[in-house]
Amino acid sequence: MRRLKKIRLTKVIAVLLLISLTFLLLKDSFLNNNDKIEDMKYSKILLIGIDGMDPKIVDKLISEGKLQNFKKLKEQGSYTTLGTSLPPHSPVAWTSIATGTNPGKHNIFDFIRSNRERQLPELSLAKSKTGISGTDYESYVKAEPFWRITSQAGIPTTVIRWPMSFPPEEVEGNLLSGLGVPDIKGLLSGYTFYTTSDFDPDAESSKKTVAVENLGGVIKTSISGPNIRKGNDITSVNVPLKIDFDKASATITVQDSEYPISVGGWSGWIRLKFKAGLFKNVYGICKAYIVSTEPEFNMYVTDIQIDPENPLLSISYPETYSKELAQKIGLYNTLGIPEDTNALIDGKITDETFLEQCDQIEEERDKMFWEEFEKFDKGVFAFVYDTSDRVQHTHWDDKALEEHDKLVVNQAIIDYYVKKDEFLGKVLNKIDDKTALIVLSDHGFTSFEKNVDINSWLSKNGFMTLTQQPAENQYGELFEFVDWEKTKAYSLGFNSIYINVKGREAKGSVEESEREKVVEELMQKLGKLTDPETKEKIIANLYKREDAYQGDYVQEAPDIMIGFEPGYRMSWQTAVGGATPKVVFDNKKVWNGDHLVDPEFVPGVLFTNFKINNRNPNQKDIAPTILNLAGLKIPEGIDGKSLL
Amino acid sequence: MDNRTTIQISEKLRKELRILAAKRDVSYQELLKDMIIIFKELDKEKTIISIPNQLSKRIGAQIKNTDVSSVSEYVTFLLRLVLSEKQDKAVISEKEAEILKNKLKSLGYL
Repeated sequence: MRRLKKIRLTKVIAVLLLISLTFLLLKDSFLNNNDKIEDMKYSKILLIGIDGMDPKIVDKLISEGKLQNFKKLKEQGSYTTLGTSLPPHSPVAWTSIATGTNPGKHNIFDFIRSNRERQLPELSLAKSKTGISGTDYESYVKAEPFWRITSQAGIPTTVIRWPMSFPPEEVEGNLLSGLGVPDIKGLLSGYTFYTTSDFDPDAESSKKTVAVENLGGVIKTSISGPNIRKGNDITSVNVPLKIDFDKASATITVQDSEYPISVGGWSGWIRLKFKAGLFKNVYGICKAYIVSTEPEFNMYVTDIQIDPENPLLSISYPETYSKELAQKIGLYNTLGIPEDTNALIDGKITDETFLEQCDQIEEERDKMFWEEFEKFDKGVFAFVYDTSDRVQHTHWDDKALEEHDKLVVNQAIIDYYVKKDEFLGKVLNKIDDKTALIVLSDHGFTSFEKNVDINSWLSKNGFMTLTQQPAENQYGELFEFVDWEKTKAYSLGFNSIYINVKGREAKGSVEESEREKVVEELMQKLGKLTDPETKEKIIANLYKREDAYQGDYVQEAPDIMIGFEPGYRMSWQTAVGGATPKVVFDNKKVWNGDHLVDPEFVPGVLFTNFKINNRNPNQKDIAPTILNLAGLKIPEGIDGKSLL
Repeated sequence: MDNRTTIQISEKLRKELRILAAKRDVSYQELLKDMIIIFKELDKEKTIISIPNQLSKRIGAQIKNTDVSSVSEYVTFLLRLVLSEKQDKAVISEKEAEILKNKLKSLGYL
């Protein structure tokens, strides 16, 4: 009996010792995680993204002495171009930067992907699913972003407006999602234009135009809110809107709140509450701009965005962060792309008004940045500015298809770069020698002078059969005119071609064993495509998915990726599964700059305040560099290499 | 005369509903309207079906702190959702096509 007790006692002591030892070991490892960064040269890693910052413009403005702070950073550490992704789309590129992997591993190949079950184009930004409490979103990204790895290691990590960080995930700090965040209707943009003037009901913009009547200085109309399902029908919930106006000013009344506004000026944030079902209110925010009140009344209202104080769906981690931030810096744009390029293209707002909107957005972003910067004393802080991308898309004066010696840069772009230089100056003054600074862009820019309609080319070259020929304003979007049984290949998105493989595509016609042969034949013919006007070639490179990508998701990739020459871009008609009568035609839109060409023509930029070991870095090298700076092991499967 | 449904509730329940309305940030009248819709739904003829206790418990946990008040309500909703899905996924209705086009076109690049 006594012996039994003794054994029991020994066992208890042994177990206690084991527990103590385990605790000590774990305690050490926790401390190591936290202390690791203290041991490093840098205790803070600051990453600033500027979407679309172009090395050609940076070089020109540095040589003209307009970017003194970027020049200082270049001299202090390093400056180089940064190789971009295939294709150089922001969702693809920022995901490669965040994960250090190629699209074959992270699964984002284009802005638009093929839903093969339905053989329809769909957005790659986030997968939406309608459920009990509305629409849920799920990321398509399959590789691990650096913020997940640093957070798991216990390193404080804050990420603000990183494209494709929606839906938000848990981090060891705060995360506010960027590109991918929808509005309250689930769209990526959308304005409303209220007018007493006549308008063309057939114009594309007519869907966003509301005819109103001037009742002697008063307009009574409504604001359209979220869509709700009523039986088999889908309708929008509206709230009444009243505008009392005179020659110079107006008062907007919505749900018992009054918002003063001057003619030719912006309102503050207008708060909206829509009753969208059982016990469910949807909160939105928007701004109005009165273009004129006489002789005709014209008013532009921005997209109704998710209210960060009462978000319809989570746009931040922790979920309460979007509200806390609004309480500190005021209400802010939550939409992925709030710069309303569509309203500018449709002629509803002037260039001046568009740039005012961009300035307002930029001011908000600055407030967000400094709010987090002041708290940043350890770990990783990543922040992405992307108004730069929208300003360049709509102000790109340099023509790649014309012979000229000097780069032509629009003043709006110069102003933006100079403002970012001033911002960088403040950052450089505030950071200490324990801060590793990385400033980078995801891609550069070139001109968009001519559309290339690949579906039109496929139909004219025997790869696609159409049931009716496309005509002006009848493009058969969503493959409406495609005879799938007689179609070997189709294109959607901005650089993607898919073979219509049996068993893989819902209406496939090509046997899997024939796929490779069709790919070869198509590449051989398409590679010879020339501009009918200039006889110059249109496509720089064509890539087979197996050659371009490696990883578990190569099968998800389009079969062929197109690398266009500068000046050419996929037509929007092909992007959404339509086809146009002509293969090549002029781009007459205000959207005159783009970057959806072969990656060799549009690298991004990389500035660091430390020396790097590679003269030709690629964006896949950024995530491993961050992990290296943080003192963490670089996980297997990351394609890039640390630049340290 | 409007087509109305009258419901009688005790003073105690009225107070509780007012608190509930305030918590959910909806007006008392809005809450009553929603309740009437649910009551009407409850009045409809029903068939009792059985599901495993364990599953019921899991659903109960999932709907906790949500607007869904009962497991039956949730299961009914899910079944309706499943049944409303098109059998042939490759067929797209005109309305769906319009929504999809709007969604794609809301990308500035188009």
